[in-house]
Amino acid sequence: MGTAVGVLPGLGPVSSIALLLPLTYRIEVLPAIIMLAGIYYGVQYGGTITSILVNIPGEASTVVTCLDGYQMAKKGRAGAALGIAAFGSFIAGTFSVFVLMLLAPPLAKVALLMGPPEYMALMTVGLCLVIYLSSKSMIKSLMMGVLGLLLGTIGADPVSGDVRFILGSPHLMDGIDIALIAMGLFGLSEALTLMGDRKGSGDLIDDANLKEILPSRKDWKDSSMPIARGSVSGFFMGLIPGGGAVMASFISYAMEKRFSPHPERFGTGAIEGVAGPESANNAASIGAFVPLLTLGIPANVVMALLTGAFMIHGVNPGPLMLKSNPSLFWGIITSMYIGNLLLLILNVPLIGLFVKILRVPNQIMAPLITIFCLIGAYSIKTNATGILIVIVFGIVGYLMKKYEYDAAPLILANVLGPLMENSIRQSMMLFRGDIFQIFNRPIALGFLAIAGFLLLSPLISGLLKDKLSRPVFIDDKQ
Amino acid sequence: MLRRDIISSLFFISISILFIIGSLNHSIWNVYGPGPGFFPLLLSLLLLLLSLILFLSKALKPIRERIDGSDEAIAPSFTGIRVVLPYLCFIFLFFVLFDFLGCMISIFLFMAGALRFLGKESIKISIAIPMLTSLFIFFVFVNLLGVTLPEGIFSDFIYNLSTLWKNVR
Repeated sequence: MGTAVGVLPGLGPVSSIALLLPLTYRIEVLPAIIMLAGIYYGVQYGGTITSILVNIPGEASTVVTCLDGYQMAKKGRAGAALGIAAFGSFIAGTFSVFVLMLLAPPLAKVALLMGPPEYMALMTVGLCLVIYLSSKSMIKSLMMGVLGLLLGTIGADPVSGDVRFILGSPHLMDGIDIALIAMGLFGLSEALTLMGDRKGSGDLIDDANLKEILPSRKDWKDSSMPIARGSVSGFFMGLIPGGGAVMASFISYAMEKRFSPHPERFGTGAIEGVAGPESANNAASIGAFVPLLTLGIPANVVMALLTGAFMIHGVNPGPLMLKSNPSLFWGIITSMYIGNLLLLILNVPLIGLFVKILRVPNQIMAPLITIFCLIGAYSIKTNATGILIVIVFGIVGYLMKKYEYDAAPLILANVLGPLMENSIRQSMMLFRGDIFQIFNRPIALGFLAIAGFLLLSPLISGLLKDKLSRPVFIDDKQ
Repeated sequence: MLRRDIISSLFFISISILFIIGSLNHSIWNVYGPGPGFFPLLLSLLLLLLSLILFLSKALKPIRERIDGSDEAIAPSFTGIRVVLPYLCFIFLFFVLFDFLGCMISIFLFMAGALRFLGKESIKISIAIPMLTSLFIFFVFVNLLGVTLPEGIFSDFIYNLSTLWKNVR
């Protein structure tokens, strides 16, 4: 399911999970999370297919794969490119699951030592990192982050029970469901964009080039070190809140070009340019589970949606989950091994089918996505209010794209908002209203310093750049 | 024509003012510490500040820089809006008629209309795809997931028809 949706350009992992989130409401928490996690790394591979065959990245983390993957396809080596991407993803995914398994329990123990001030500070860092790494204007991303936090205050106050900003509607007493916001901002807005864009798929590579999916011995020799490096770097990029698959793939590409004895080959069909980034993005997608499962903090937007899914099922992800719900924790990890294997076994033979999905015109795809969003919305709220909320956020998401506002900080902040508010209020109660007591909490202070640095560094580097580029007059020298 | 950032920042200024007013209706601080209005007030003040910074940074830019194109385009590109706006009307109609006509009929009418009138698809496609979609939605959401979707005004008619059919058989 994830690969099939990931194949569609524009519908990345966030939109895909947002669209499919309502399906999980009616099933048990473990199968629900396994399904969503499977969709997440399935989407990564789906995006690879379009990057290689159509030169259109299926989603952001596969942009880099276009550079060499499409060139390989033009040279009649589409099969090898797709094959090495699949195998590289499998190896990186398996490695990452193994490291996750080793790292998660001790990290969960460390997390138990943290109190409300530390959690508040860590969430601030996560949010600031997503804002910092946003491709659009930083001030706009900050505004989106703050707006997301504000939207999280709608509904009943978790401490006092006062209802806030419900506009007289009892349907908003529980707040605005994150799935509805995500479906609107990413799903319906994408449908509106597709409807307005009739161009559809680019130049699709002939199916004949899809023979010989299995890489040759030389391909393996050239790809083995990129896969190894991509696995390690990708996993650690995934750990960092705000990092994730996109950064991992770019860093891997830059690294492979740096280490290659023939860097001039990159951009002309170098298999290392596919193997490294594809391994990195899959490793990062699994590494991103570490902060979620051990600290209860989503590292990126997709994890934020998974946090929403956990909470809907009454489970709080975090350090206590390992103690209170070990079967859920280890079930998720086991499913990742199986999921990675299935990704390899199922996806490679089904590439031809996924390519056919690409040929569906936008004007057919858009109403299908719309209906899925709207019916999914109805199923969450079991009344038409859900549909209205998705429509409103769909329009907002469409306008945000036009006015160049990034939706990712809004979603992440919306999930973190209630948690942050709780932590801030608990911290203030702990400090008896004296905010300066934060100086007695070095870990929290350290995190806040990192957050401050992230927010202020673009301003400082801008000022320094101005100062250094100031023309030097003869008088100054004298 | 105003810059897109000026328009959007004015919008966010008004949103933040609304939230500030809403926050002041709740207790900001009490004997136990921050009240329910504290966090939203803090955030809305921050949003107001950021929006003002964005507004002023764009509004006060020297006119020379605005004209020479060194900055982003004056207005966002709304290509395809001639299709998007009617499509939104279809979506609103779907929302309005959803409970009244029922899920299956609403899906069929929405998709048939969007495919035929906006997508310019053939009559065959405009009928076949909505029918298959309605059946798929019914199968996944009603059968598999047990979601109760509205049956609309024709539910009694369909129920009576199915009862009649059973009696005849």
